[in-house]
Amino acid sequence: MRHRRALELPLEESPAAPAPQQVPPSRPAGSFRPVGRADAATPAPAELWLAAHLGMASSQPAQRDLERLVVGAQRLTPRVSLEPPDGLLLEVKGSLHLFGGVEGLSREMAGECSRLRMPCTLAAAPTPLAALALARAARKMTVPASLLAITDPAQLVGKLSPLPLATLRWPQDTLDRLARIGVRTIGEALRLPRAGFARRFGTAQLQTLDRLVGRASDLKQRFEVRARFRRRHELIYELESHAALLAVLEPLLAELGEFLTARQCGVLALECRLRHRAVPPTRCVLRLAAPLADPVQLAALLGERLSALVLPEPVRACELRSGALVSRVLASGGLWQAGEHGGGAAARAPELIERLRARLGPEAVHGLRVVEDHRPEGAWKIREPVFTTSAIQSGSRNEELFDRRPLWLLPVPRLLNERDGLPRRRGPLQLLGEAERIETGWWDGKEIARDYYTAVDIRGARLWVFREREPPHRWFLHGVFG
Amino acid sequence: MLWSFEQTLRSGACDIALAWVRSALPRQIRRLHLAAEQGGTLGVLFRPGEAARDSSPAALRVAVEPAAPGTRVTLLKSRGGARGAIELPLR
Repeated sequence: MRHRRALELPLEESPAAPAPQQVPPSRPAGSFRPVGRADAATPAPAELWLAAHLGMASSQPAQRDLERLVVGAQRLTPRVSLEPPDGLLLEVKGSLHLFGGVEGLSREMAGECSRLRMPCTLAAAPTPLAALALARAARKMTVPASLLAITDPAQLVGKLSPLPLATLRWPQDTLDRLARIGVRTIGEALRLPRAGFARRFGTAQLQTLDRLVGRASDLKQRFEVRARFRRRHELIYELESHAALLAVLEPLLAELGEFLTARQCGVLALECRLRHRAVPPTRCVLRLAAPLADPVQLAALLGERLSALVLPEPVRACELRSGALVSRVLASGGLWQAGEHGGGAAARAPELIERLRARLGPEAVHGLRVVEDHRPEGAWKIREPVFTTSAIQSGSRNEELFDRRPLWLLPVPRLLNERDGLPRRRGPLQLLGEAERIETGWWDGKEIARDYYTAVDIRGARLWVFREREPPHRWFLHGVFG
Repeated sequence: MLWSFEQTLRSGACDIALAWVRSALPRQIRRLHLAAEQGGTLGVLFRPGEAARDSSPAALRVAVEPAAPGTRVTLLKSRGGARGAIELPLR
């Protein structure tokens, strides 16, 4: 069905394009065919749109509230678009069976609206515009909260016909002119000749009608929730106690958790700013080892961080900012308990790392990575901890070379004494085997030219020493074998 | 340092945890021992050679020192009371 529509698209739109003379002859200049009859072969509509018409009697809902509602609605379907100033559209065909049909779904949606204290009317129809028009009409006519639903495309035109044209939100001028020729409902407008309609009332309006009855596809831009979370809470009194602060932050964290769940994301970094009267705000940054969305865990970690924080002044406002969102794959719970048959260990690692980081700071915990570099100093790097089983993987690891590297590398090579051109450390060092020459790095300014030896000191400890190739040919200790 | 080690042992997130410390009191080692049992983690605490003289509540104590061709491993304390030393030559 969707394919068919896409194919028909250019044909469908051509009459709406510049000149009305281009109406294809195959279409009788009469009027709109009910779309359902043409599609009789495919009984089920490809899409079903649920429209929510919001709005208090006096004022329009704020953009902020609308966005919050969208976040809630995205729990029901990913295809949610905003129809400013007071509409919301959800494509629910795919989620009908998950929420118990149109009734169940609209109950959920009504619940979301009432949670935000936004009165709404809901309507469902195969095209987005029809759903919106129905919802608006239901509001105007103060139909009781019963749902208006057109699930059968064949009934679409028939059910839309009695609705007033005002529900399409055309310019008042157009509506007035239509009213003067006695056209007040959608059905009457649909019966007008297309060419004349386009000439007198504009192609835009004709396109609206096409989209309304599903003759032209209506592409809705999916609403993307902002990729970062930021909420601020002003306190009505100043706070000094850490426990009280955490209590204030908890609703913010709960909101963050909801925000993240809707996007199936987690945060890796969370910043909490505590504003004071005179001094600059105190910042408390939480870095997480794995994407996290659970407000309870977040609160526990933030509490750990906060308790280590010294507040210069009482806090007047707190603000929560998330770092970039990371998509979080929700894994199934394991069959084994942790510690049983190796179960759960990997799941606990992030928790451990977060606890250590919360107490010791983010720099204190890191992972290791092997880098392809001949310079021993450059052959490894620290990185964020990861929890794959092959955390330190090195594709082309040279086993033989690996054996010739010490386990312990000194942060900086230590200068050794020498006598007769041979190094000494608590006595003479005995050099074993051949030298390994490492001479590289001329391209990035950290050039080295060294001959490495394995040496044994008088106590039998094996050391990794090198001699500079350049004069003055000094000896250095660079590592200790285990 | 010891706090991190204890947390790691207790969490059960790792199969084995290694730590190098300059000094540790018997009381602290006892805590580590309990944490390792709770988390089911093998914990190895590396201490300087002088510490071999002090008593320790650890389950197994091993002294490792360089010997002429390789490494000498001496069993200082073990369950069952076996004692002895072996020398591991280097390859």
